[in-house]
Amino acid sequence: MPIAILVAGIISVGYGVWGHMVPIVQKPEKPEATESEAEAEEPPPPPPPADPWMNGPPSDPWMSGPPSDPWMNGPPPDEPPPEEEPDETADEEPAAKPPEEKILDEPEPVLIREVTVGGVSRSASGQIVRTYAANEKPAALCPT
Amino acid sequence: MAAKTEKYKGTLTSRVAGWRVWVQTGFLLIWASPFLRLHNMCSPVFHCHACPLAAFACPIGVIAHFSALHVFPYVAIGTLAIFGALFGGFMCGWVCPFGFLQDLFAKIPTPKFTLPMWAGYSRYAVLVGLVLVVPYWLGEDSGWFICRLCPAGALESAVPNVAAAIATGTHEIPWPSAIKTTILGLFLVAVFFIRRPWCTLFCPLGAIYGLFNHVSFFLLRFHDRKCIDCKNCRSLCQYGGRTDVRVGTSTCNRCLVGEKCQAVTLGTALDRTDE
Repeated sequence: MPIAILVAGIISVGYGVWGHMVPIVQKPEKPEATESEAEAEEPPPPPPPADPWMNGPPSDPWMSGPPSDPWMNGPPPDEPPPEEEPDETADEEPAAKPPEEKILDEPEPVLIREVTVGGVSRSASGQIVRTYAANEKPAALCPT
Repeated sequence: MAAKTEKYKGTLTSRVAGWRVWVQTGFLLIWASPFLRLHNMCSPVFHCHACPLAAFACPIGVIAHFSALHVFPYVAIGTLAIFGALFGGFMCGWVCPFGFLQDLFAKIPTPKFTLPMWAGYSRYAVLVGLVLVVPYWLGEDSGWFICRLCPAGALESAVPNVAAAIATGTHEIPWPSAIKTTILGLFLVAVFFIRRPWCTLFCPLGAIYGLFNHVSFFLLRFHDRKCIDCKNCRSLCQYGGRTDVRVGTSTCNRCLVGEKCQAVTLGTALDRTDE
C-alpha cells in the first residue's frame, strides 16, 4: 500500500512538472511614453472671444417686419438622396489595433510561483488571467 | 522475573527521540533559508511562502489557490503523497517548522492542558472547508480563505514584512486583517498552555499526514503481547491520552517519546505483525 501511494505520488509530481500545461491569459504590454505624446497632440488654445458688442448693440431683427411664410408657394420638392462621398481613407494606412491579450500554456511550477505572489486570478469567464502586464513585475508578496 | 523488574531503558529509536530538537533545527535551515528560493515547488511542511526566508511554496496555500483557480494541483498532491507514504506523521513531529516553533513554546514552564483525542477531527473540517470548498466556491478574495486566517502566515510573513516596511519607512505597510491578527493573538496565548494547539486542532496538513499514519512505510505499533501493564503509557504521551491507544492513529505526530514503552516499536510496513 505505501509503495503504491509512493509511486502514484511520483507520477503525479512528474505529470505536474512536465505534462500539465495550464492556459494563462497574459495582459498586453502597457504603453510606456504616454505623457509626452499627449502633450504633443494637444491643439493650441483658442484665442479669447471678441467683444460681441464692440460695434454697438445688435439691430432689431424684426425691423423689416415679420419673416415671410416659407411654405407660401407650397411644400418643397423631394430632395434627391445624398451622393455617397468617396472613401478618403482608402489609401491611408489602417489605424493601429490595440494590443491583444495572449494565451500562454504554462507548466504547473510556473503557476505555483504565480500563486505565491498573487500573480494570477480567475476571471468571471473561468479563464486564468495574470494580474500584471507583460512588461510589469508581479507583486512581491502574496495578497492574502 | 529479573528482566521484568529491570528498568526499561528503551530502544535505540526512543533514545534518538531526545535529539528531536536538533533534527527539527536542521530541517528549519532548509525551509527557511536565505540562499534557497524555489517557490515554484512545494515543500512538504507547513511554512508560509510569503515568509521572507521561505525556500519553497506552502502546499496548503498552493492547494487552496489552485482550488480557487479550479485547477488540480498535481505537484502539491504528489509531494504530500510521497512524503506521507514514506513517513506519515513523522513530517509533523520531526520536520515541520511551525510544529517546531510550538514545541519551543511548550518548553516554557507554564501549566499545560491536554486536549481529548477526538478534538483532532476538527482538522478535517478545516481541510475540507477552508482549503477546498471555500476557495472553490468563493475564490481567494473570500474572508474565509485559509491563507487569510492562517496564524503561520501571520507570524512568519505578516510580522516580519510589516516590521521591514516600518523599518524602511515604506508608505504602504502590509498590515494583516483584523481577524488574522485576532487569530494570531489567540494562538500566541494558547501555545503557552496547550502543546501544539494548531497541530492538534486546526492544521490541515497534519490532517493529511495523520491519514497516512495508517498506511505509511514507517509505522509505530503497539504490541499487546509485549505489554507488562506497567501503566507508564498513561503519562508518556505529552499530547494527552494513552500511548497504547494513540500510537498508530491519525492524531499521533510520531515524536517517539512513547517508544519508551517497550510494547511500542518503530518498524516498517514490511515487518511481520504476528509474533
